[in-house]
Amino acid sequence: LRNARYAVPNPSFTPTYADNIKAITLPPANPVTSGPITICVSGHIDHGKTTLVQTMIKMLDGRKVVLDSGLAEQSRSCTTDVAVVTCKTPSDRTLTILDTPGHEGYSLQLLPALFECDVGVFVVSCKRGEFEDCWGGAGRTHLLSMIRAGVARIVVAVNKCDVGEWEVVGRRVVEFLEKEGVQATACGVSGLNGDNLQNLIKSIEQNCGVRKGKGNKKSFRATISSVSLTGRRVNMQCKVVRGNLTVGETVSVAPAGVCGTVKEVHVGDEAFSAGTVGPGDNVTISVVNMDGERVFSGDVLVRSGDLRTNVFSRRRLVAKVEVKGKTLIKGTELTLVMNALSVSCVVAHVLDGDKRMLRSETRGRCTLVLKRPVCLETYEACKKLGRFLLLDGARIAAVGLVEELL
Amino acid sequence: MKLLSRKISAKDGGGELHVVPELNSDVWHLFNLLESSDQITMSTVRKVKSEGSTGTVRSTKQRLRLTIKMKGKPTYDATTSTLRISGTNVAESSFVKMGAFHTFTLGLNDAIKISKSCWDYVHLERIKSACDFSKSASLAAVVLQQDGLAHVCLITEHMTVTKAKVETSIPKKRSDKAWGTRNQEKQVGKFYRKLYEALVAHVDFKYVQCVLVGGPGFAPGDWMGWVWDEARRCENRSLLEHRDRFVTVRASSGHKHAVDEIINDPAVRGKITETKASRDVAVLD
Repeated sequence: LRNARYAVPNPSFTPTYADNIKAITLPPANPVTSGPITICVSGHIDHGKTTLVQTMIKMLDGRKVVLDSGLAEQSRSCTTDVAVVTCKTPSDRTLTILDTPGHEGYSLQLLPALFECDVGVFVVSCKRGEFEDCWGGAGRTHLLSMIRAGVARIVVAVNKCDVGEWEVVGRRVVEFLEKEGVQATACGVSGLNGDNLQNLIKSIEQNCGVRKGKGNKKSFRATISSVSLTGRRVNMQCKVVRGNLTVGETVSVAPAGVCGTVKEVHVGDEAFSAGTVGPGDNVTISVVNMDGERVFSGDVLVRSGDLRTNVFSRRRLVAKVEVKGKTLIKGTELTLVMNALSVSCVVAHVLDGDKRMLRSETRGRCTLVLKRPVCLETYEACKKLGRFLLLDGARIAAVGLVEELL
Repeated sequence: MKLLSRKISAKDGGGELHVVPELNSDVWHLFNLLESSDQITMSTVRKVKSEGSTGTVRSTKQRLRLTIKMKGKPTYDATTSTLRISGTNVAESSFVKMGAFHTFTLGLNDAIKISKSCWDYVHLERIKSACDFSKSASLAAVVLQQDGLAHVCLITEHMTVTKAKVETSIPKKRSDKAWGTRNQEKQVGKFYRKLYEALVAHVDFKYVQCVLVGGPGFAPGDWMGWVWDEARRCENRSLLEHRDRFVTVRASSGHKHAVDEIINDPAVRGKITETKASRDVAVLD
């Protein structure tokens, strides 16, 4: 039996994690001096993800937030889309929580959230019968999707621990994850009652990786996950991938090429009209003088100067691909998913081995031709903008790294 | 496809066929039919140089009927449904020398006479099915995604033609004041309206017998509900009359390849035949 690392509900729990990085500098009134964390709460249907997030927000911020605010969601009592909430942890770090849908039909909404997060929280219920039901089929697929999307650290929140034995379930899931090569921690919680949430948050913070360097010299990149137009402002919810951006600078959206000036940066409900955002910040950037109709989710925000010197929109690329499911035959139409972007693509040529197909469970290189130009970078240049998933229908067919842009 | 004349000798299988392509798929059939060294006769336009008495060279566009012997394969352009056929001139003409190269552009409703030395059984079957009128009964498919991506396609036996692509940026729901709390609903309404307009514009119920509406999750169901409300509000008779022709199915996304998925799904095929059959029964009654 491998050593399963799991957090025991212990009141004398003392966290030992590396010091935080200063990522967002703000006017003296709101001193925030800690590294931001983005977590993605995912799991099987009805295991308590939305309830858990609501209780966490109540505990951390004291406010009651309704996550399933859409009409369809309230009438069907099921999450249809990803909800984003920002709050502060007890150790003063900005925590952005993405509450995702559990139904298989909404996997297209789940994947962008998985790409965006730093730490993945996998919610599994230890109520009798629920765990066995999900573990046999869809639950494991969910975990595999998380791993394939690139979530390196997962915290397993074993929910409903007031009506079940969480240790057994936690151990099983952690063992499975370690076999797949992912660092995992398990923690028993109760979303409804709020038991042991402090330890969950501490495990999340502990698991959040230390970001290397402040990225001052690197060019600014932020992936846009959602766009909203209010009046003359274009509000873009983005996660900064690398580099820094100051309010007042001119930015452009690739591949459309439209540009505008950054007026404000919102973190949750607070607006900052001066300051800098750095890598890891999950913020809403409010821009003026930009043609909002041409900005879509999945685009990348860059500095205007950058856009003039480099070409950002590509349609053809060479990728190193690892096939996870069935064999991929040359010429199949797949969906390429990366960071809120989903575009139709075709496997144009297979470069290694058998030139007609990419065999199942093997690695190979191939050329992909996309239906429309998108902003991508090679994996060596930028890890977040170079890793993608290929979907065949709703199933993940392969994981790929961009090797070369043609 | 309209067949104007047909003269094929039973002895050696050679002969000529005079056809007029009427639909996009007919042009595609012709593309598969035409081979190198076939003789094609068509009405075409050619720039003819005429020298005046003073020595000035005038170039005028002359419409004439040319017969060419094909060289190589024709080029098919799917977006405009045209074929480019090139070859050398083999018939005597006052304007064009023998052996001169010429390229025909065949579009819809352009008559063409094809002369082959031997007509293959496969080719003849193809022409027969293309001329068959009942094949024009077609299927339409709408695939949509919650994110704001949708395609409206018309499906014939051989091709899927995308008639409209709707792409709207729909913001995620957020409770922040700066984000705009009613924005998501507004954009979703806009998306549904654009898709509804595309449906009304491209789907002609004279030919279309069944409309498949596909998408992940609750997307198709929600949109259909909106469509019926809107149809009742605008009193769109043609849409309301043919309400029974709509079938809601599940697809994996709103991308174009999702259309291929749903039409190949065996459960869906059953539903299609059901709708067609029920409609015929209604006619009998």
